[in-house]
Amino acid sequence: MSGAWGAILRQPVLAWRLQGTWGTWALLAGAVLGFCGFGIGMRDWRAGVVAAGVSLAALVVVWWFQLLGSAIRQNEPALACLIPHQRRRIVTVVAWAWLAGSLAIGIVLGVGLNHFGYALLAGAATLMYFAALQRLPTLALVPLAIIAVTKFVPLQPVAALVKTLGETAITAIGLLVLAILAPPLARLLFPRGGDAHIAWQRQFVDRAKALKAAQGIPGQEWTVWRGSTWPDRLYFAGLRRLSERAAIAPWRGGRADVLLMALGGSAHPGPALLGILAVTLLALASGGNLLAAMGLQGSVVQLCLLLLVMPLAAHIHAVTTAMQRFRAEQALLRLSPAAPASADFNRRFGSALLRRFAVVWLASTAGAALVGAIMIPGVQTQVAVGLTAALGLPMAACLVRDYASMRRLSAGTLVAVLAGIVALPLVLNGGMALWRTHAPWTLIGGLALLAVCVTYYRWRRMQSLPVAFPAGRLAND
Amino acid sequence: MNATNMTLVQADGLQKSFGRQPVLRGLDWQLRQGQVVGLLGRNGAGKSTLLECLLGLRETDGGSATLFGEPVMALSEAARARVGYVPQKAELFEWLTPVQMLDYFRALYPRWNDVLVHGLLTRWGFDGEAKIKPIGRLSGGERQRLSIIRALAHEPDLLVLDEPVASLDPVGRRDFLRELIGTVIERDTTVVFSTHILSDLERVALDVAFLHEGRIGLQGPLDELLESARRVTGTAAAVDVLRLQGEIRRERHADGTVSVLARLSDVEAAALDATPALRTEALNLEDLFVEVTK
Repeated sequence: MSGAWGAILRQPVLAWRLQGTWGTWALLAGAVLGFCGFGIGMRDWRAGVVAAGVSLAALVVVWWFQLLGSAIRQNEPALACLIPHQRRRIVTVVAWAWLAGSLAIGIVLGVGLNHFGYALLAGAATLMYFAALQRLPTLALVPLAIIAVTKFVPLQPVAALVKTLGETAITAIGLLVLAILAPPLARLLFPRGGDAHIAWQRQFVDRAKALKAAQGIPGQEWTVWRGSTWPDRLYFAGLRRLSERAAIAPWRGGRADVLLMALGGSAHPGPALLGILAVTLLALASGGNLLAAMGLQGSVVQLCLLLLVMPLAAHIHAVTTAMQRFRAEQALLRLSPAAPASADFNRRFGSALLRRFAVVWLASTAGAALVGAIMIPGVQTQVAVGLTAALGLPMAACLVRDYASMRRLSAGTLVAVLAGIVALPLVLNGGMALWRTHAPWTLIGGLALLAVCVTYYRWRRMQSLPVAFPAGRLAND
Repeated sequence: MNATNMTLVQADGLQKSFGRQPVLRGLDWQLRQGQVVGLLGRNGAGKSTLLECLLGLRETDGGSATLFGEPVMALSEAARARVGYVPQKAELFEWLTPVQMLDYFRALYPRWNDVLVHGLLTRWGFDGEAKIKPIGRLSGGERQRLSIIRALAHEPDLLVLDEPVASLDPVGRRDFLRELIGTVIERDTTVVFSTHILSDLERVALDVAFLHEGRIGLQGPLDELLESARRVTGTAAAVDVLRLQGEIRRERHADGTVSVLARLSDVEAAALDATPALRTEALNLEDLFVEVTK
């Protein structure tokens, strides 16, 4: 391999070593464990191969992102314009990697599923979709659009067509379409100089930086800076009201609510409230079609995840993100006379955070209860919504914490979050199976009361901790 | 107490470490009303940390600091209303427009000079579209100018600026310094600002303070320092017998000569000039910076 090609290929490997190699080893271990667990333990070789294939396919995707990111960085405007054949080499490497990755996914999934063609096509399309996402983030909505379309539009003719054509023809046609799409996508991802290239490179580097930071702290926006969008409207309305009121009315000091404005629009309940409203309206407008294919339990779990867990988790993530990110802003706010006195700061700030959380919790619970009552009426829906709402309440405790010493996200926290996500559907399914005739309101009330007690304890404890603003100043990392 | 002698900032034995790395080592410092001090120090000397500790934005490991006679960790509303601060980071409130940001801050302060803000916005290039553009889309210089406008708007008695002109072009720096001299200093405002741009310091700072090895190594009126600071070089035998009252540091060179950095009185300077074994050199601010922070 010549020096120039080798240099291009070496970069993602060096970056991988620098970032830590545990992800790759974990996926390889997952493949081995999956194969052993299903193939040997349960004596189902096909299931074992599929389980291993899923891990290996995920590994291919991880490395595809690694190579793609490195290639985009290496194609920076100066290098693309000044180094002879640099861009052509990069595009060639990425094209070969796409073919190899698609083939690898086709093999590792196709063997187990016995559909090499479909697996190959799915792999090629997925890798290309992820590549397109780098430049066109709005394509992230495509899966949602597909889900919505499949619920509203009858797909029997399409299914019949697929059946008629057969796997080989579908694969061939699909790959041909992807091959046609590949050159314009390559031009989009790997331009050669010009204002658009410089802007794209800056955007990509900023996003990569934010993403890198997101791995280390409790939360970080995925873009370094984003302009205001429609979900921020409620935030800006609140900010305008606050500014106008202060202009006409005498100034009053010590209000913690005004401090929260310095955390930006994403930490305001506005985006969560509008999101809940949008999902509620979409669910009601679809008249049940959206959930029809999933069965009762699947529908209820999805309802709880969409309308209860996600808004609460997103709100907490946004607040912790803003606390980490806007430290300089917090320093200015701490020095402003409107800030509560140091001795009272954490009490008032914690209360303001909890008030905001309560608004989001009430809205999400009301939304879930409404959609559930109209679309999936029944005791089991009440059980699931009640349990999720009660289990969602302790999340408020994450908001009343020692912000001054806020550290990097520990592996234990990550494991706990993942375990919670995995466990929730199990708990809900168990609850729905256990209480078919009546909802355990006493249990739900008890859980909620326990959550309130835990949050209250944390809020009281927060008052004896160092002042929250600026966050992270006492952390050693 | 005479207003001009009133101590606004008082630091006694300030200590601060990050992990095992000591940054402030028992630092003592005083700033009186109306004093304008340029804080100098090498990269990583702890200038930002010192300013943050003085404002109560960082806990110290030891010592104490007061602003307007109040402990910095428990400042009253009235004391906070008298402080203006420009942090080193200029990327602040990027999601707001300059108008939204300033309106927001007006809501946080009991006193706000709209006329001053309007005048500064107009003079510093915010009279057009820049006023309604998200701050995230402004240039680095524009953001820094905006940060300075925000800090000046409530007419603080103490203005703390952490590298305020780092992102400004020469025109922006000149405008800022003119504003600082014309408006702020005339109001008897106490100003402390850290900077690396020594030429600007020579234009504005009446006093300079050198932060070195966690302490204020040298402080004094800039003119006096430049007038009195000398580097005296000579053979070891000739220099070793020297006992200067204002000695700052002494250095032995590889060629066997020794040099002494000192603040000399007129009498001492005249005596040394008359000593043939010694060479006495006047220092400019840059030389002084290099010598003091070595």
